[in-house]
Amino acid sequence: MGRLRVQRRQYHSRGKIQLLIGERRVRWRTVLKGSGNYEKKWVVGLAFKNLLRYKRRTLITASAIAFGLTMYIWIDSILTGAAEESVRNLRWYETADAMAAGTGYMDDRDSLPLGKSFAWEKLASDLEAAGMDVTPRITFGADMVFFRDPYPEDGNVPARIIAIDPIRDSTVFRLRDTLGEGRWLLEGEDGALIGRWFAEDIGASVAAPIIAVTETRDGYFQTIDLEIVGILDSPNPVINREGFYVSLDTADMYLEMDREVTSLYITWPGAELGINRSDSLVDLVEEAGLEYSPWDVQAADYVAVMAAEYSGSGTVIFLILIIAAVGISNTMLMAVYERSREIGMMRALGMADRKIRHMFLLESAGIGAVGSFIGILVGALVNIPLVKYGLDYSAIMRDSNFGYRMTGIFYGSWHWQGYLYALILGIGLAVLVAAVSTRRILRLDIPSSLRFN
Amino acid sequence: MNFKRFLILVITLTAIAVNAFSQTAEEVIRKMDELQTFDTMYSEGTMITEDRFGEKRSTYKAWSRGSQDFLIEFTNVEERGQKILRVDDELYLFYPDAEDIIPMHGAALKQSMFGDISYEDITEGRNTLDKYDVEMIGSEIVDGKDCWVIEMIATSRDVPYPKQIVKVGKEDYVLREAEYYARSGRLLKIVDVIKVETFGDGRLMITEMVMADQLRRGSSTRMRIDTLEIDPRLNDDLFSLRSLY
Repeated sequence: MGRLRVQRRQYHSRGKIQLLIGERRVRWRTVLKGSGNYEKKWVVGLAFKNLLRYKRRTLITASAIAFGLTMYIWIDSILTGAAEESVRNLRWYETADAMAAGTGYMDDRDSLPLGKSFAWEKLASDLEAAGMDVTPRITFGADMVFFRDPYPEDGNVPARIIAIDPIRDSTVFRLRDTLGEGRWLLEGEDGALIGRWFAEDIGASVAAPIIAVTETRDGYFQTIDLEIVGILDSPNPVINREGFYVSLDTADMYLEMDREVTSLYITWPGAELGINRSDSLVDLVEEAGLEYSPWDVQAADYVAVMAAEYSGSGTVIFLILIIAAVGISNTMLMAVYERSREIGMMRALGMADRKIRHMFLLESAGIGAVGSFIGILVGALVNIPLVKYGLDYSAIMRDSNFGYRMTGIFYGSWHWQGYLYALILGIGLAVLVAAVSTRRILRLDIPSSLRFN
Repeated sequence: MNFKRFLILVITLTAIAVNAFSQTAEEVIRKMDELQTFDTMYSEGTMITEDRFGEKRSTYKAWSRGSQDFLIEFTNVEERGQKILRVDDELYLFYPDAEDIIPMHGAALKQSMFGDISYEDITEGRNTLDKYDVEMIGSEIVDGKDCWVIEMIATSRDVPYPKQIVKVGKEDYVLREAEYYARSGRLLKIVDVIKVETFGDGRLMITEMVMADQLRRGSSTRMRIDTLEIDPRLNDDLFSLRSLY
C-alpha cells in the first residue's frame, strides 16, 4: 500500500505518466494474480484522480448537467405544484371527494338534466351516520338577463347555476371562505353569489338585480328574480369565471323540485391524505338506487387534460435534457478523444478494454454526480422563492386556464421524487454519453489509438 | 226574500255566463287552429331579427303537412342548406358543412333558432286544446279589431310556456296578438300580427308578424311570408331524414 501511495503521488505529476503506467503495469499484473478488490479500488481511484486532473473539463461538463437538471427541477416543481393545487381546488370547490347522483346523470350532465333528481335526506342521514359530511346541490342552466343601470348595458349571458344549502355547504366545500365582497347566502332568500371575473365581465356589483331565465323540472319556462348578495374570489378559476350560486330553497321553489336535488356531495376525514372509504360509500349510494362518482370521475376532463399536459411537459423536459446531453456528449467526447493516446498506451501495456471502459464510465459517473449535486442544489435554491411567492400568470389565466384549476399564481412544490429522478438522470446521462464515446475509441486498434489526434 | 232570489239569480247567471264563455273560448281556439292548419303548404319567407347589434336577415323555404310536420330550408348565403325537420314529434337539424343530422332534445330546444324564436316556439303545433285549458277573460280592441282575450293554462308538459294570453279576432278567428308567460307569471314574449291575407278558398292566413322578447330590450324578430302555396302535392319522403342530405 505504501508503494501504491508513492505511485499515486507520482501519478499527479503529468511528466511521469509513462513511467507510472509502466510501474502500474507491473502492479497491474500483480493485481491480476491477487485481490479483485484491489483492482476495483485501483480503477476507481484512477477515475477519481482523472476527475481532479481535468478540473476545467469536469466543471464545464458538470455545469451542462447542472443547468439541465436545474431546469428539470424548476419545471417539475411548477408542474407538480400546479397539479397538487388544481386537485385541491377541484375537491374544495367543485367535486368534493365524491358525489352521489341519479342513474345516468353523469353521462348526461352536460345538458344539466333536472329530470334525474332524487330525494336525498335518507341517504344523507345514512352517510352522516357513517362519519361523512354531505351537502345537496341542484345544478341547472339559465340565461342570465340584466339591464342598464346598475349594469353598464343591457345583456344576457348563459350560465350554469348551482343551488347550495347555505348552511350545509360549508361542511363539504370551502366556497364560503372565498367570499370577497358582500355577504353569504341566507336560507330561503332569492339572493345570488357570483364569481369575481363573471361579475366584472357583465358589470355586476353587490345588490344588483339579475333575472335567471330557466325552466322548471317539468320543462316550463321560468324566471327567477335574484339580487346579487356576494362576490366570490376563489383560487379556482372556474368559480371566478363561471360561478353563480343561489340557495337551495330558491331553486326548489322555482324549479318545482319537490325537495329533490341533482347531486349529493360527500367528503370524509382524511380523504385528502388518501384514506379511501369508497367501498362502504358505494354500497350506501347504490342501495339508494344512485350512482357513485369519485372526484376524478367527475373531473374526468381535467384528468385527461392533465395527462395530455404532463405528456407535453415531459416532451419539454426531454428537450431540455437533450440540450444538456449535447453539451455533455461534446465535452465527454473531447475528454475521451484527447486521451486516446493514453488509452492506447494503457491497452498496449495490457490493460483490458473492459477495465478502461469501466474507468471512463466511473469518471463520467463522477462528472454526472458533481453536475447532479450542483443542479439539485441550484434547483432547490431556485425552488425556495418559487414555493414561497410563485410565478404570476394571472393575466393569461383569466382568459384561459389550460385545464388547471388555478387563478394565475403557479407555486412550486417540494417534489422530492423529482430530485431523485434528477440525480439518476444526471449520472445516467453522463454514463450513457461516455459509454458511446469510449466504445468508439476502443474500437480503434492500439497503433491507431496511439497515433490518434 | 227578494234579496235571496236576487242572489240565486246572480249566481245562476254567472254560472251560465262562465260556462258559455268557457265553451266559447274552446270554440274560438278550435276555429283559430282550423283556420291556420292545412293539409299541406309550401311557403317562402324572410325572417328579420333586430337587436342592439343591428339587423340580420334570413330567407327560407318551408313545407308543412298537417299541424305537426314541417321542413324548413334556409336559402340566404350565410345559412344556405341548413335544414330543420319536425316529424314524429322529433326535431332534427342538418348543417351542410358538417354533413350531420343533430336531433334536438330537452334544454337544447330552448336555444334560439333565429333571433327571439326558439326551436320550441316552432314545435308547438296547432292542437292547442290538447295542451291547454282555455278560459275567456274578456274582450279588447287590437289594431282596430275587436278580439276575444283568452287565457290558456298548460295542461301538458310538452309545451314551453305554462301560460299564454291570446287575442283572437271576433269576426275572423285570426290570432291578432299573443303573450307568453313564464311559470313565475313574468311576461316573456309578445307576438303581434302585422298582416293577414286571404288565399285560395277564401281562408285567411297570417303573413307577417313580430315576436318581441320582453326580457331583451330592443330585440324583436319579424317573420314574413313572401310566397304561399296552399295544399300543394308533396312527396312523403320530404318529411324524412333522407330529405335532409
